[in-house]
Amino acid sequence: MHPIVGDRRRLQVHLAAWLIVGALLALLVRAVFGAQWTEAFLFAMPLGLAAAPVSLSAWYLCRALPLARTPILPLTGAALGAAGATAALWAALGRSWLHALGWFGLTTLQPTSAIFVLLLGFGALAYLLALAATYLVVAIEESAATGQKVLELQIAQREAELTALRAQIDPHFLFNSLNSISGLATADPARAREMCQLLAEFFRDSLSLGSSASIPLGREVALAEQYLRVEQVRFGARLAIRTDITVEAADVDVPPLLLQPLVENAVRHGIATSLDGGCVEILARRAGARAVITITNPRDPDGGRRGTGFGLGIVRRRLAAAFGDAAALALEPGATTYRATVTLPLASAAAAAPAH
Amino acid sequence: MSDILRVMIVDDEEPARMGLRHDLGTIDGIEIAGECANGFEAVRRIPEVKPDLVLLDVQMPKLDGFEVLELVGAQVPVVFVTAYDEYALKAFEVHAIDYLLKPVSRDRLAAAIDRVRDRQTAGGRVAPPVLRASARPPGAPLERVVVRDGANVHVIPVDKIDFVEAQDDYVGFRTAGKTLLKEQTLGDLETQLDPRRFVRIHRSYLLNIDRLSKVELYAKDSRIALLTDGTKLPVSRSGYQRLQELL
Repeated sequence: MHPIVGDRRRLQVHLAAWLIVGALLALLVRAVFGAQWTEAFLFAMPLGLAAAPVSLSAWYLCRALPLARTPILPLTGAALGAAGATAALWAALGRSWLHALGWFGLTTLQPTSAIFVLLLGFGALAYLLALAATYLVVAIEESAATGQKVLELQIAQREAELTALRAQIDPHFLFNSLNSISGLATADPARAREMCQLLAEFFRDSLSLGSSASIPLGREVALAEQYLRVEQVRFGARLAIRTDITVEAADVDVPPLLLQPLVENAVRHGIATSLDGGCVEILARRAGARAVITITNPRDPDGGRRGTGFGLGIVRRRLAAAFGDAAALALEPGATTYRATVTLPLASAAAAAPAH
Repeated sequence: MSDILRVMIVDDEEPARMGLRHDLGTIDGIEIAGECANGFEAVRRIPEVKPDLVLLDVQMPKLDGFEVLELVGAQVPVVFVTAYDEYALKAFEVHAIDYLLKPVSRDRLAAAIDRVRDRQTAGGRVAPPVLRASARPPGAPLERVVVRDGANVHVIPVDKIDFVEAQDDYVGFRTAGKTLLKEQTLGDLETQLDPRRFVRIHRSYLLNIDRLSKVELYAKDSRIALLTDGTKLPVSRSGYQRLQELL
């Protein structure tokens, strides 16, 4: 859609600008040919208005020849060519208009070649000005869009920090861990200490990594494993952990704590609601230009509690913010297992965005 | 009255059981009568062991503390132990003697034990037969029903129930081709189930609306509900009104 035609306010400004151009033309005609005020305006204003729709074509030229990617010579040539052709058409139109006015006896001005040359020069100049203005508007809009993109990335970043924070102060996780430590403290002090260390490790790492824009997938999976090991103290034999990440997948960049909500869900729905528990499995590998991460947990066919989808929403939003449509979260509720699969491109949008 | 208080610990997390076991060992006159790692074990063992007190965890897989209490009924005094205080009110509604928050301090545990002993001296078992609680957060409709059938415990998600039939002092849950009986009144059950899903179509029947195929006129002012599996149930005049309001 043309940016001016689609916007009522811009259209008004555009028309006003061409009315001013018409008025300037009237002054010029009066000054050069000594015309009366009324005949000068009668001639020039409609011509100015007629130029308004014609000049809209400048936008297509802007789109076809982006300022940043077109060499200066072809750009100048194209601009001059377009200006000359458009101005010639317009000047011919002006001469016919003067003929018509004269025929009705509304003007004493003669459609001389001097007028034609004046119109040609004035029209070309006006067209070039319009072209420059259009380039300017396009540049402003692009920079605004970049600003929007930067803002979106910042929001996603903030959300990542929030997720990290939430994981640390999630009252259930913290309470459950404290309860386990309290239970172990007198009966099995060594394990109580071990639990404290695991908890401290997880908090320390998630705090430091949570504020980065992205971290290697290897670190992300290690963080998830730390979390699971804390939960393992609480659930004992009910929670088994398996992680497997290929060497090529380990240094793929991901937003920090991206997997955390999925791992929490795996424990909450797969382990805590099950009598015998099972294995939470995290696999990560490369597949062409993508990384694929699957998180699998046992699923009770009788169904535990349904979640609120809050965690899944966070994961989806963060994927979209970092990778746009190039990343996806797929969920497969099977008969006895539940699998969440994250697919993401190797280069994140954050890395691809221009430096600022 | 014996001086020794026999206590059973029910919690699905081992560290929690360890802590309670340790603290109970520091209180005089306590004998650990057993430990259960889930609700099913508790329902099976409580009648056998007949402890003087059950320390009962609320959040357990499949069968939570409230459901355990519902199934063992008035047989035993219970003190709930939970990580969350949102269940406190409900714990007293179901006549628990006390309610302990995790992590449980030794002094708080000792105070709860004292309360149990006081009740014992005051005479008699505690829990009155008002234990018609069910596992749900306060105010929310029931998501599942627990029924005891001999040594077995059935946990029925409410969407698996076709209909419920009143049979004297019992209600019969029709599910997956069989009927499970439970001591409860239909009216009581009706207040616990989601009213947008279960309709009292008759004095004796509560119908899962998803199972309804159609309602047929049978005689003047007399209708029958035809279920998707072919079962026919009577529909009273007021029951028909309720059905129409819902549909």
